[in-house]
Amino acid sequence: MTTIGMCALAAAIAVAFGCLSAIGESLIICHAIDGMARNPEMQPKLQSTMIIGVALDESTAIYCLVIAILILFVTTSMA
Amino acid sequence: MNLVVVDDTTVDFNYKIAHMFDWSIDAPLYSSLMIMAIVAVLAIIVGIWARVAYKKKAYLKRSKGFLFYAEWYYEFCQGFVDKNMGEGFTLFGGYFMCLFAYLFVAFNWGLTGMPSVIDWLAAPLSLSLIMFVLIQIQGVRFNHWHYFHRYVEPIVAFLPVNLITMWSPIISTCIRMFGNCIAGTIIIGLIQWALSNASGALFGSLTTMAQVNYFPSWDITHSTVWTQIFLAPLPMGVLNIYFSLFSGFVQTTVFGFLNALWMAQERPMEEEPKLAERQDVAPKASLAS
Repeated sequence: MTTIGMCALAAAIAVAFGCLSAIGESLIICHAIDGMARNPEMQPKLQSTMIIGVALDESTAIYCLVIAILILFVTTSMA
Repeated sequence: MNLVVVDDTTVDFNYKIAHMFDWSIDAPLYSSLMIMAIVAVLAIIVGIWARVAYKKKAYLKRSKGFLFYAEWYYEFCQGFVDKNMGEGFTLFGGYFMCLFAYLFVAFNWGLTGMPSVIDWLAAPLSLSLIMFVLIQIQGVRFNHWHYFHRYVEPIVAFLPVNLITMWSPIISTCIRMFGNCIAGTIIIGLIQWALSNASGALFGSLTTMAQVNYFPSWDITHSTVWTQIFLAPLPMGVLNIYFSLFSGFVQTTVFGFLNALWMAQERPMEEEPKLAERQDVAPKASLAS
């Protein structure tokens, strides 16, 4: 296997593990919607808390994306 | 990559910016200085305007115009500090006003065509370092010499682990900000490249018909350059609403929220009031009464 092929595979594996954060995001949104359904007057506060939680969870996927970009553009040029 | 002809030599746009005034510094640093200058000038103008309005007793009437938005922004930032940090941090309203303004404008600065600031790792890293220094200062302010106990808790052997853990806020906030910005840049760049090539392939024959085709037909990029603009504008606008405006607002809020939370955590929790001082417990009846 060539170096570029291995770099591409490594980047794909990194992004694939980053996609696992989608499970956490769906759980956050699911419980937030449950709370809004039970208590509609708390909807604005729940919504803003949900968006902050989703942004924090998404950061794990972003770390994996940054590593994939590093592998694709920096390691490939070094190789 | 935009090519600019300067003195019979072809240089990159970033090279031209980086060597403006013959200074030869990184191109995004110029953008960062420009944003700081814009925010500082706006703050001075609003400050002078507010001072003049106060002297004229304009606070007795409803404010309008730019001062209305300045008041809204001040109340947003001060309310953010009061809600998330509590007592002892009232003066940080000004810090968060500057932070939010700089961060939101810097996130969207690429839309102006200038080199993007947050795409350059040094910019979010500098903001994270400022946050780190503030957190440590709050730790020393509230705990004094007890601040150093955290590095040897629960046992002294945890010192190397604690020394590494102390840098995790910097890494997480810096990479989160940088990653969100560069992910948007890459996705928008890819879609723009794909749409401009697709547009050139679909409408390229129009240039031939209009006889404005000065390039050979095998040079697709240049021969179809005027037709590459048809498909990209609307999708680019829609994508930028999400990746620049919405994502910028969310990431700015998250950065500020984490900053406020970590600084407020340095204040020790207040102890539970003793039983005799509690207001919700009824006093024992005495024989004298």
